[in-house]
Amino acid sequence: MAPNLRLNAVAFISPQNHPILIRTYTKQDETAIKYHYIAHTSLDVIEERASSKSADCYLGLLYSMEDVAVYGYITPLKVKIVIAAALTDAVARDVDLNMIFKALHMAYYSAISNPFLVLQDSAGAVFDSSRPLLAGSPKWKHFRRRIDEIARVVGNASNTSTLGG
Amino acid sequence: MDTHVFASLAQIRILLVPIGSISQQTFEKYASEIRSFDAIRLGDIAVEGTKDERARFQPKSLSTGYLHLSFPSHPPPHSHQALSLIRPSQLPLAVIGVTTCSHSEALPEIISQFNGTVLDMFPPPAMYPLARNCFVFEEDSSSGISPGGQHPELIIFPEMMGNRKLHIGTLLGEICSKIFGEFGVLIQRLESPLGNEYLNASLFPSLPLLTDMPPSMDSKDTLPPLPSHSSQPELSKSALSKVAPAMKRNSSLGVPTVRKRLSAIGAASSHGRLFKVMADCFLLAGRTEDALIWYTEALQLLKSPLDTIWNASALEGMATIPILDSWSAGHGLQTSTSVGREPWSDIADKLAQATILYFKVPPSDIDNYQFLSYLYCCCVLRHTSLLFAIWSAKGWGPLAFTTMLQPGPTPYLPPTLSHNESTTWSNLERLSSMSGIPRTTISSLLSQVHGPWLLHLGSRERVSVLEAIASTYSCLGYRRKESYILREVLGCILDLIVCGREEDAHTNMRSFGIKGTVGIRLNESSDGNESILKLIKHVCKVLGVHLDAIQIVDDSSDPMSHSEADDESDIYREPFGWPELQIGVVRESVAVAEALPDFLAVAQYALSSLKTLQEFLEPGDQYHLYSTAARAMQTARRRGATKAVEYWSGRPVVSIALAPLPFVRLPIEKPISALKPRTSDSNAILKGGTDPFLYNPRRMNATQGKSLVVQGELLEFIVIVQNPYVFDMELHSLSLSTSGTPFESNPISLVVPARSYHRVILSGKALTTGSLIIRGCLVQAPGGIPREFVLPLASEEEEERLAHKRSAALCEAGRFKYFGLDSFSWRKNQSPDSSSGSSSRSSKTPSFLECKVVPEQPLLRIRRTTVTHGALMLYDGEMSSIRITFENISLLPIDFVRLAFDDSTISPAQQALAESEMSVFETYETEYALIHRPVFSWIKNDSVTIAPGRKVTLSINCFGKVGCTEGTIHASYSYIHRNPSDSEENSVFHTRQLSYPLMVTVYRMLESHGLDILPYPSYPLGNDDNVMKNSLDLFVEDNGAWCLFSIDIMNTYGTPFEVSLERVQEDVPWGETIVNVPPGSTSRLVIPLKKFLLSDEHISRPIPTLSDRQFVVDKTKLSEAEQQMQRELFWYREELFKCLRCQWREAGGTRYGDLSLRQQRLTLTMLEILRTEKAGIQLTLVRPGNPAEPIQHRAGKYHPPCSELVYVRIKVTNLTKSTLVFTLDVNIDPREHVIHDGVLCDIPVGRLEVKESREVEVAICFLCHGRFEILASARVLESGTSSGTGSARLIAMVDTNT
Repeated sequence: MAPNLRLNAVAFISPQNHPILIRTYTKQDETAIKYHYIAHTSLDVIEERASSKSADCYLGLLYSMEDVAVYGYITPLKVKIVIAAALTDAVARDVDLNMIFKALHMAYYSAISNPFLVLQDSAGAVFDSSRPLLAGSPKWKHFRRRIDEIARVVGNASNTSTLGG
Repeated sequence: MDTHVFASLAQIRILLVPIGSISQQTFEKYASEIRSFDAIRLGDIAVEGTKDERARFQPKSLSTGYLHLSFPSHPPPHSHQALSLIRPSQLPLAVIGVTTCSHSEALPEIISQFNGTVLDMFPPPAMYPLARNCFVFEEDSSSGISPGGQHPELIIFPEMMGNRKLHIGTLLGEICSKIFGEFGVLIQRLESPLGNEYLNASLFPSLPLLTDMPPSMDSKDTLPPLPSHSSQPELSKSALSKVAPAMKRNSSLGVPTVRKRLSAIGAASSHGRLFKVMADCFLLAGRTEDALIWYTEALQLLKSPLDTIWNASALEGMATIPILDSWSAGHGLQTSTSVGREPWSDIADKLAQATILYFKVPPSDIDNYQFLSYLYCCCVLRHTSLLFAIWSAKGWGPLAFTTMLQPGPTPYLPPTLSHNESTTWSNLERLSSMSGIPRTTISSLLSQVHGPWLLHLGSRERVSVLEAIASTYSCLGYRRKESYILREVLGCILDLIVCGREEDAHTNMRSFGIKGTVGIRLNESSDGNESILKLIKHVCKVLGVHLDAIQIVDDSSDPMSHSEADDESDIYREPFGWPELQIGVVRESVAVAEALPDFLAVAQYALSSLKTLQEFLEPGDQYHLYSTAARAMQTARRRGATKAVEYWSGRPVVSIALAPLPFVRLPIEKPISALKPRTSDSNAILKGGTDPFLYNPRRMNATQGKSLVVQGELLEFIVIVQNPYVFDMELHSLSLSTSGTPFESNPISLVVPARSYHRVILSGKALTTGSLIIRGCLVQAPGGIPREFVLPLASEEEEERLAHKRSAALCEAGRFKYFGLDSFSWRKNQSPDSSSGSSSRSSKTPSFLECKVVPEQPLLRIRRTTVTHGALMLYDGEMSSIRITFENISLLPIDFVRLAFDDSTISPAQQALAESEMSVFETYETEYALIHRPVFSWIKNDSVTIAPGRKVTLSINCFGKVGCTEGTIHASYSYIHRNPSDSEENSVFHTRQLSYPLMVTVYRMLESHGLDILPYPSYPLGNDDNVMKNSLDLFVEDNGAWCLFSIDIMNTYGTPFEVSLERVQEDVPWGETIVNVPPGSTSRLVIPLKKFLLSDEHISRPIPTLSDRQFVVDKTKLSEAEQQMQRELFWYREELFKCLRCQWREAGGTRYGDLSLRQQRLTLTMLEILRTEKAGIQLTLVRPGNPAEPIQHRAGKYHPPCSELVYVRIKVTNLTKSTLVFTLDVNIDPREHVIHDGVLCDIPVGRLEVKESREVEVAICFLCHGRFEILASARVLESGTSSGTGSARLIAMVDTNT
């Protein structure tokens, strides 16, 4: 594992480009919206990359901005996973990132395998006036816990230089 | 504004400024003429003949290069003066004033204005501009303007000049030439040791002031000799010998004061910077070979002690050269590119190197940060624009060079990107694949610009850098990034706006503070607001917020115009966008519009967001947006805005329904034929299926569908409005939108509570008769314009139409997959809807709630009744009457009143009839009760008229029927004969109806039972006179023709009743029996009845039904004889009831009534008695003799003598209406004490005609004393059988003492 690879934020974006879940791991909470923007703007690049080379899920470094490097991953069903890692001088190996993405993808996969999860609001629910914000949806409780766990493991691994689990 | 062109380092900037009162159009016209010269061939530059230092940068004769011009529209900020040496191309090297003039006298003023302007733009210590000219274009002058000669800067263009453009070109060449001359002077000053020290003094050096220069220029020897490969070494050397005397700096103070600085600075500074400046100048002069040489020199010198900034700058300059060369060489020709490396990779490497160098500048004085970041940004942008130009030009070629060399002032969009479909996926991908530069490369380069260092930039540079980033992203198709950057641009601009406003406020306060306390408010300038709002909308659109969802429209626009537009609002629409970001950007947009301030835009944005993002907005946000919008609308109104926002909150009206009219006001339509007399009125009541009432309002409604309303009377409509938001929504006005007859209603304003459905009643009056169509509602929000919401009737067709539409939309949604930003919901709707939507829309017009307005109707009310508390107490069979007083409370007369009744006994009876499970006999009884014994009845009176305001009293008969618990009196009334002229064309008339419900209680107090019919006793009951008197009626003559009717009456009630039984037989004297029945006791009423006989033809008729029902199949299977008997019983019973009238009267009271005997059954034996015999027999005893002497009889008994011959005379009379043959049987008891003559059985009487009688005598002799009874009975002989009919009895007392 590359040292000092620290995840600042993880974003899951639906095929319709709706945010599914966005977790940020920085200290200040007010920067959360920044990572929303990062995830959103990375869609530009993802769209370009995904159309050109479709073989691989891993899209590589999308761009780096200010203090973060943004990496992308697109599942075969067009769910996009975006990682915002703290920008360091050290080289982040694609293999490591790919592994993180695979873990995140697995987490998402197991979360949507829950048969009781209502993924898509039916047409009737559109009229429900109290639709919560998608990204903060409480239905992803377990999923969120797993993502946080992955982020924690990645952060720890950067200290011990091995990726556990 | 500033553009970041790749080749800006090689462009000579010439600032064009308007001078004097030149209109913008005129200025633009002339400026564009000047700007059309963006490149000038070096050969076209007039070389001055001078051979001094000014000639160093002049083009060599017959040189082939070009020099490039750019014409910025704005002067640079003053702070850029610091860049004047390191980046001479950054500043305008020449200023051209553009003005018009009509007469010579104005010239001095023009020149002074021009000088003033230039001085203002470039305050004294500035090096530039090196050349200044004022182009005066002659206009409307009668006489030519003479330049006068004293102002060399002034160049007059006569109006009549033919080839003005050529002239301008020449003049530009002259100006450039002058600039090059000044370059020479400049370099000369820098070449001096002092100059060089100044050059190396700081990161961003400035030119030594003229006063700092050594007074004598003999110090040239100290300069190192210029490298031999200098283009004009001799020339420069000689040039150094002179100070330009023509350089007239304003600071000609002449006293050398700053000597000490000279000593402080070491004299051994490197010449790297000097060479770099020279190279810059050569580059500007279009002499790329010289520039390349000097750059190379400079780079070598700048590297050893690393002078990062200058080094990087030199690299940038070097990178520009190949492009210039390629442009001038190729210029339309595709040069064969070398294989292997891309042709631009060398340039890109240089720029990348420069970028790194700029980035690594060690932190120094904080004042320099601004320039450092600016240079860095420029360098990155230069690098980006290189790749971008190549990418957009589909590769390395002339188009790319043109793009890179494009002069300002407006950004240039290559033709590959300026067409409509430039941002389509395929176009962008094609560009990438053709040019070999992926877009990511450009964007990742570009992202290097964006960083915290942007904060160091001056606001103007920052805006321009961000603009450049945004536009590049936009061209790359990275629209999300573009919008991200644009938000920052907006932030910068708004900062500026706010700061500028504060400054204005300060200056105002200062200037007016002295004069007193008069507050002066400047008119806010709204210039440019439009563009900012456009920017906001663009950003929002990328994020999927449709800020134009609510349009701003003219106040006067027709509310009906967009009827269909919102129809699809309830159709499922795929959500789009990123809610968190949308909310953020919406907040920003509203804040921006508020800050501008553009109040209408504030309202528009706030309301649009409320409409489109309602489901995501938190309560606080919703409330904030709503209150902001309301406030903004108020302000806009106050400031006289003539536009307003549309109605916004979705579809507020859920349903409209006509509040049912109160029953008394409801008009009912009747055909005029109903007025004609009816033939079978009574039958209606029996038919269970049909309505028993003359007028039934409910049935009319069900069949007709259109509700009837009355002209001029208040109508109420129940409107349900909804508010899906968390705040109480105020509606400024809500009114009905109607068509058809004019409808007068007042709009109401209301507040709909949060998140609820609210019920509102709208009232109004229809002014004329006809059809009133309620299309929907007109809704107006505060400050908005009214909007019509059409509400078609929820008919089956309409439902189907909507469902069809919805499913079509769903189908469409699933059919096409829109990728990324293409899935904007509002964009999607345009394309597929056009084909299918038009067909379905044109198919049919929706139906609306419709009312038929009928003419004004009178109104009646019940003034008073004789019934107390609406309750009626009756005894069983009681006859009474109630009176109802009606009052006409309208202004119209009433000329038609009809009463109809209903009571609780009717419907069960009807039901029983309808089920037809009863026997014929019961059916008849039920029908009889319905028709002949109604609870209520009245005497129909067609001539009742009630004038306006008058009263009329009607009397209604009541009949107590057991089982009746309630009843209703319906009064229908109308004003039919309104206008004799048009009466014939009305096929209908309208009635209204009043109902008066009554509680009815019927007490059963007398019960009759035990009906019996007995033969009249043929002997007197006694010879007591008293008895005879008391019951006089009981005694009749001819007792054989009579019978006794008796019935038991039981009083089950608490008060005594007097019951009378009357005999009302035809041809029989009237008789009556009256009995007082005390409570709880039973009395027997007895009355003699004359027997009667009904004809065979009569009794063989079937039992009738009172209704008109046809095909009544008798359910009971009776044999012929049984049926005959039943009919006989029926008809005799009917006849019996006709003969009797049983009434009761309250003892000591006034109440009276009928006592019905119909519950009683008539048995066969009773029938036998009741029926008159066929033969009437009279028995008398006579003594023999001629004439026969009758035997005395007393009290009905004969007293014949004993042992004497007497005759029994039997008179047989045929009482029937046909001829019959009779025989007689005589029976004498006791038989053994009598002797008789002949036979006593079957004594033939013979054939008797009708009413014929015949006497038969039988001689007998009583043999002893005692009581004898003689019974004679007749028999009819009919077809071999004999049947007994009629008998008589005689009692003889044989006594010895007579």
